[in-house]
Amino acid sequence: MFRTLRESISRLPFLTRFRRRAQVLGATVYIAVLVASLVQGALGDPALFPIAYFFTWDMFPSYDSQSFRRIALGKTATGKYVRLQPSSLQQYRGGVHGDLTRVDIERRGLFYRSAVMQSLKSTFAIQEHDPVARIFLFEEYWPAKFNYPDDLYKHWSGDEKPDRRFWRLVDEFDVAAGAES
Amino acid sequence: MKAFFLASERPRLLALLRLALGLALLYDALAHWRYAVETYSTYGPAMPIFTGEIVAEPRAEPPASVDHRAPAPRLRAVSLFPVPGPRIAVLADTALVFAIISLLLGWHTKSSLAAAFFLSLWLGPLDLPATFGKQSVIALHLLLLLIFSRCGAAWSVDAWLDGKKPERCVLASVCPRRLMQILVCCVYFGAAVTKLKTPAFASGDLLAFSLLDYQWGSGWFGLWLTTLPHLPLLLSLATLLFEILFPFLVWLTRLRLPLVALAVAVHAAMAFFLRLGPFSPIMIAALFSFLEDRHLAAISRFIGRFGPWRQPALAIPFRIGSFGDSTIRRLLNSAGMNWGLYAFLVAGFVGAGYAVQAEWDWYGAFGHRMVQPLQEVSASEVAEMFAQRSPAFEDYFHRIEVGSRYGGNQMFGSSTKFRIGQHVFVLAQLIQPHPAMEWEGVLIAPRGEEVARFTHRLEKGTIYAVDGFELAPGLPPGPYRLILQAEGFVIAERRFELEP
Repeated sequence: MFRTLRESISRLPFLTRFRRRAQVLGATVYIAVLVASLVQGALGDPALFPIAYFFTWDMFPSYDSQSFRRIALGKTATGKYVRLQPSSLQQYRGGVHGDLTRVDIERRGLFYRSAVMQSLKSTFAIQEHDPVARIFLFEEYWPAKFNYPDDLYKHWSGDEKPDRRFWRLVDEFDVAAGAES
Repeated sequence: MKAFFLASERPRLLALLRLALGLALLYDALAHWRYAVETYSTYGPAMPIFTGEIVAEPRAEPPASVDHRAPAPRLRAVSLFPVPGPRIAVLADTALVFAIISLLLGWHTKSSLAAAFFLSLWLGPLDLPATFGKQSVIALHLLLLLIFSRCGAAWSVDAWLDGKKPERCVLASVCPRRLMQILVCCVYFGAAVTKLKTPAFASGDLLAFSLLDYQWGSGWFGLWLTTLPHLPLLLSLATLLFEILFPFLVWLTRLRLPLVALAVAVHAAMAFFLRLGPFSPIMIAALFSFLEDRHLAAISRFIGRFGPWRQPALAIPFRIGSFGDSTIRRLLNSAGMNWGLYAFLVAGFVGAGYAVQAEWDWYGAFGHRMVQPLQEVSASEVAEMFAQRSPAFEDYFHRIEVGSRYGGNQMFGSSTKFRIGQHVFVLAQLIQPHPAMEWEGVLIAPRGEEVARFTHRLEKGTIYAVDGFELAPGLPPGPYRLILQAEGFVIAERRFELEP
């Protein structure tokens, strides 16, 4: 009186059966890729990058115990120093206090140089009278503990929070060399 | 297994997921739209997530200072798609906003989902700092799976336009929802595996420094939590436990709803404490895939009990069937009209978006506004930058704790009262990087004479150092001082009372 599931499926129109099989195949492939990526991620094998990025769930892999911001200077032909980063091209702001540019947010500094060169390029016409000849890429940094508000810092450490910031020169180059890269 | 993947169900759950995901994506897309030229175009420049090193040119030897950071390598974008110019970037980003709005409305749902998927896949990876992250990858998976679902068959314009709907029961395959459930389990399990492989997470440091982070850290309350002893470690372990157990326990019917509620609470807390962009809303949307129709009915009854409306809002299917013969619906269902109107609105919306960006020209990319001239930096500021003063030794120490017992990186026991026979342990946590240094502790008795001293060479890369003294019989009771020094500089002083 009642048909089994297999019998019911066999009586379905061809297109419906095809869609079901495609669905099963697609689901199987998808699950297989997810599981394989899970194993690959667990083993730490970086093969298949960048495709593997879309199947690896490695959130919060590291932390910084220092905080920093990036400020680039350009030395002009007449010896003046002008600010190249942050520039008017860096309008997006992020971070806890909404004062970090994309160059700051990308921690490894991979795009620091290219962003500065782009800022220089966009201002080339108005800076033509005194062109920038050499570029200095700086980082302003401080221990992460200084990110505590003053009252919490005192409560946590027992001391007043000092007002200290430090600078390091990350890179410097002539504009001609930077333009070539 | 066949029933698990191939069963049919009402499409309301998928529609709910579509709405939740759409809202999260719309908020994110609108927040970034103003910056399309900067984030997605060659003018910005774009900062793609996938890069390869191109130049290995010889560089000058870096200074010996430990605080020096090596210059980043030169990169080329490794992208399947080209980086667009500012005009194309604005057009594409505006089209993405429209696609998300139309998928929210459920109008040409599959096409809108496909458009949102491909535009997100193109634009997102072009901006590593502000747009793309693991939350974007999860959203892409959800969009892809929704394309193959019937999420537009309920609570949508498509459902409203389907004139035959009132005469039949609309069913959808459960398969896309099952795959979303498996995806969520993989995300949690993968995150747990990463944390297990990261010693800093199991010690609580990763959580503490994430809350302290200048980029995605917390407000006052979250920072206060990091000052409480042991709490970052306990929260880290609780997170790990949750991420390991969720993928297994969520399949037990009785535990499903409490676990989903717990997961939603965890993500809400993450959204409160950390600035992770749309990560939490996207994960909460994905968690909706674990709900069943009966949960939806129960939730709608619960909401209906407190709501000002008489009928539970969620239980009402998008039933505008009473307008079945309305002129608008007949007009839209006529050949080509629906698609024509859609195409017209796409063109109008994208054109209007482009016109706004071109008119305001925030970046000077459209030639309507001059780029601001470079600002001169004062001589004193330049001098300070070039001086590159190193931090004081005390700045390399994140925390110094005193106690009578310790385990791992946690200190226990009173820090102000000790008894004869106990140990005084000093735990110092250092930031990275730091120079090698001589770490010294001097114990000063009540009369001012030195009674004990430890010295410890802290090499580069040391994160924790534990040293201490035994409070031997014969030491006079009273107030003691513990002076802690690095390279001979006093960096901290702790006081305690020695009781007989």
